[in-house]
Amino acid sequence: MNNINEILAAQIVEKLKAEKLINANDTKLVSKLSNGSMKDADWKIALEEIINTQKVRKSSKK
Amino acid sequence: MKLLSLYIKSFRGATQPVTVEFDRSKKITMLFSENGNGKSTIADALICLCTDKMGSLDDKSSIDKSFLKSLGTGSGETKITLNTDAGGFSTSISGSAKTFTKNPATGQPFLKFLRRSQIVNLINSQASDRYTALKDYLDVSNIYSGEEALRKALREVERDLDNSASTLQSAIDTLEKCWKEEGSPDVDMLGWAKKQTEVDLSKEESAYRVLAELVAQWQTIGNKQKEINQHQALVTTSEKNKQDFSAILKKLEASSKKNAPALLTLLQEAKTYISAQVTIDKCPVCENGIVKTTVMTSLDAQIKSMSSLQKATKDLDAATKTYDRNVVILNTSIGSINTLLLKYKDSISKYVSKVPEIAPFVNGIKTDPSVNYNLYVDCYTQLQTLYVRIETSAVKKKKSIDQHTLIKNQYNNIIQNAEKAEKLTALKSATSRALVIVETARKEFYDNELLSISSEVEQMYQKIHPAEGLGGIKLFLNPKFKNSLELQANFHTEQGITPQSVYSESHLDTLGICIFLALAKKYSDGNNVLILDDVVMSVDENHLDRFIQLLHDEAINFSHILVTTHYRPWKDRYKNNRAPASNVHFIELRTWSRQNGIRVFNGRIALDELRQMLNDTGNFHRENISAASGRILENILDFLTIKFNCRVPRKPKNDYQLGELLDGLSKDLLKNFKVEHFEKDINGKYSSVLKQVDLKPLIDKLKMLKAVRNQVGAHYNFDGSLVNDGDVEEFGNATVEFAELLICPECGALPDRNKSGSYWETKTGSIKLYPLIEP
Repeated sequence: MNNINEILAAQIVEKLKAEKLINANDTKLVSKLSNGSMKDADWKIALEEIINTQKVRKSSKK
Repeated sequence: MKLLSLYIKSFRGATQPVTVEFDRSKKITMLFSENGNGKSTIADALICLCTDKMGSLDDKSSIDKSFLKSLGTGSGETKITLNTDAGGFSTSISGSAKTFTKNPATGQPFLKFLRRSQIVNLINSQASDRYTALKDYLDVSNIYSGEEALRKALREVERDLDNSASTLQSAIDTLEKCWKEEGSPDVDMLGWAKKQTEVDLSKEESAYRVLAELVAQWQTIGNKQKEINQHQALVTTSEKNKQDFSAILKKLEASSKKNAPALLTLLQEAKTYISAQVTIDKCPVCENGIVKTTVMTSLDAQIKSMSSLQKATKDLDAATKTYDRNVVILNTSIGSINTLLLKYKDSISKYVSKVPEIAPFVNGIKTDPSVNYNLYVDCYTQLQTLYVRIETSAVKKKKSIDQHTLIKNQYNNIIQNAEKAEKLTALKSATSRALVIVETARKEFYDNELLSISSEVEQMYQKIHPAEGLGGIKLFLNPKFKNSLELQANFHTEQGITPQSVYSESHLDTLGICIFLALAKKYSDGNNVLILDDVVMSVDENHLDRFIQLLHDEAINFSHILVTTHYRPWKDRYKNNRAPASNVHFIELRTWSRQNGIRVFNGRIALDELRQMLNDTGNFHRENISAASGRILENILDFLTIKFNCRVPRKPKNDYQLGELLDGLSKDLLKNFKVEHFEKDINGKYSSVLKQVDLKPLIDKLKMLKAVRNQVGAHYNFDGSLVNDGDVEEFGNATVEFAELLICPECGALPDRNKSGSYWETKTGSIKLYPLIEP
C-alpha cells in the first residue's frame, strides 16, 4: 500500500468498526475516505445503518 | 517491479529515438554524463510516464509545454514506452496536444523522484512551503476532506435535532392548550390525546358535509337572487325608457299629419328604389313623367324635414330592444334560480316537521319558475331563519371536527418527533464520537508519521555523518499554523536549532536527501521506483562513500533506483571498485547533439576494461594496459594504505604515485598480509574457506614491474621501448590478480568493514583481509 491516505483511511475505519459506529462488514468506506469522495450524506448513511440495526435488535428482543 | 527498457521518441532532448536498456539483475542504475547530455530527459520521461508531474519542467516558473516535444518534432508523435517485468506502459502526445495520453490509463509503476531543487526548497523554505515540498508524501487532504464532511454531517444532525425538538415542543404546547380548554380531562394529557385520536369522527363528518352542502346551496341561491335583483332593476329602467320614447313619438305624430312614421318609411323606401335605378323617367306609382334628379332632391328635402320623427322612431326601437333583452335575461335568471330552489326544496324537506314555518315553501314549490320564485320571495324570511340555524349547527360541527383533527395532528407530531429526536440524538452521539475518532486518528497518524520519519532520517543522517555532533533531526507540524512543517536538529551542544542556520551547505544537502529517502522508504512497499536526479553536487570523499553505502543499504526497499549524476567522483568510486560496483548498472551518456540526440553507452568498471584489453590479443595495446594497470593499482593501494595507516611521503595534495604507495606497505604488514576467500553454503552464506593467499609475493612482483607503468603507460622514452610485451602483459595480469584477490566478486567492493575486530571483510563476507592493523 503506497498511499498515505489509504493507510490512514484503513486505520480510521478499523477504529470506527471497533467502536461499533459503522458496520463491521462495510467495504466502501476506506476507498471513499482515501480518495476524498466521502460526503456528509455518506457518513450519515454509514452511521445510521448501525443505529437502525441496533434498534431492530432491541425491538426484536422486546 | 523490474525495469527492463525505456524507449523515448521526440521527447525533450531525445531528438532521435533512444532506448535505455536496464540490467534487471541490478537494483541501482547510475546514469552518468556531463550536463546537457540528456540525463534529465530520461528521468523526466519516467516521471511523465509514471506520475502526473512534468519532472524538471515543474521547477521552471513559466513552462511552455510545447517544449515537452523535441525540437523539430512539429505535429509528430512524442512517445515514451517503459517495459517492465509486470508489463508495458506507454504515454504519448499526438498532434498539437500538450498533455500526455497514457496507456493503460492507470496502474503505472509507483515512482517517487527527488531533484536538487526539491532539496533546496525543502531546507531553505518557510515551514508552510516545506509542507508543500513534502505534500506528495504527507498529504492527507483526502482524509481531511472526509473529516470536514463528517463535521458538516454533525452540524446538520444538530440542526435537524433542534428543529425536531422545536416542533415537538410546539406540538406539546398546542396539545396542552387543547387539553386545558377541554378542562384537563384524564390525568395524562397524552393518554387523553391518544383516546381523542381514536374517536370515530365519520358520522360527525358526514353530518357536517350535509349541513355544509345546505349552506352552500342557500348561499348559491342568495347569489342568484342578487343577480335577479340587478336584472329586475335593468328591466324597470329599460321599460321606463321605452315608455318615454313612445310618448315623444306620439307627440310628434300629433303635431303634424306629415309626421307619420309610415310616410317617412315610404319616402325612405322610394329614395332607395329610385336611386338604385340607372335611368327612370316615369313615376312607378302614377306613371307620370319624372326627372330622377328632381325627384331625388325632393325626397331628400322631405326626409330631412322629418328628422325629429326619424330620431324618435330610432330611439323607441332601441329602447324596445333593450327592454326585451332585459326581460329575457331576467326570465333566464328566474329559470336558474328555479332549478336551485327545486334542489333546495328537496334538501330541506326533511326539516319540515321540525321547522313547520318552511312548509308553505316546501309544499308550494311546483314547476312554474315564476310561481316558484315568487313563493321563494314570499317565504324568504322563514328560509333565512332556517339557514341561520343550519349554518350555526355546521360551524359548531366543524369546530368540533377541527379540534379533533388538531389534537390528532399534534399527538401524531409528538409521537413522530419524539421518535425522530431519539434517533437524531443517537445519530448525533455517533457522529460526535466518529468525528473525535477521525480527528484524533488523523492528528496522531501525522504526528507518528513525522516521528517515525524523523527517527529514520536521524538513522540515515548518522550513517553519513557519524560522530560529527550533528543529528537530533525532528520534523513536526507547528500546531499554531495549518500545514506548517518545522525542521529542527542538533548542532554539537545546541539542541533543537534550525539546521539552516548552522549546517554547511553540503550537510544540508545530505539532510534533504535523507528526509526524502526516509519518506520514499516509508511509503514504499518494496515495489516502488526511486529516481534521484542529480541530487549530489559536491561531497568530500568520506561523506560520498557513506552516502553511497546508505544508498546501497536502502536499495532493498525499492524495486529500482535510478541515479543520475554529473558528479564524476561518484561514478569513479564505482568504476574503481571503491563502492559496490557489482550492484550497479552503469550507463553513460555521450555528448548530445540535435542531430544525434541522446547517445547511450553502457559503462564498465576499470578492472573489466583492463581484462578486455588483456584478452584482446589481436590488438595488444601495451600503453593502455600499462596505464590502466597503474591506475587500478594506485586506487587499490590508496585504499589499503589508508586502511592500514601506512607511512607515505608527505604531500600537499596526497597525490601519491604507484611506487610511493607500494613502498608504503611496511615489512611487518607484508609478513601478515593475506586474504581468505570464502564460498557460499547452502544457505547462501559465505562460511567455508575457498582459498587463502599471502599477498606479499604478489606485492613483490608488482614492485618489480612497477616501472612498466611509467615507462610504457605514462611517458615516451627510450627505456619504455625496451620493455617487452611479456612484461607489460605480466604487469597487467598481476594487477588483475591482485584486484581479484581484494574485490568482492559479488558486490564489487573492497573489504572495508571491521566487524570482527581482527580483519577487514567485504560487505558480503566473501573476502577477509588480514591483518586489521599494521603490526
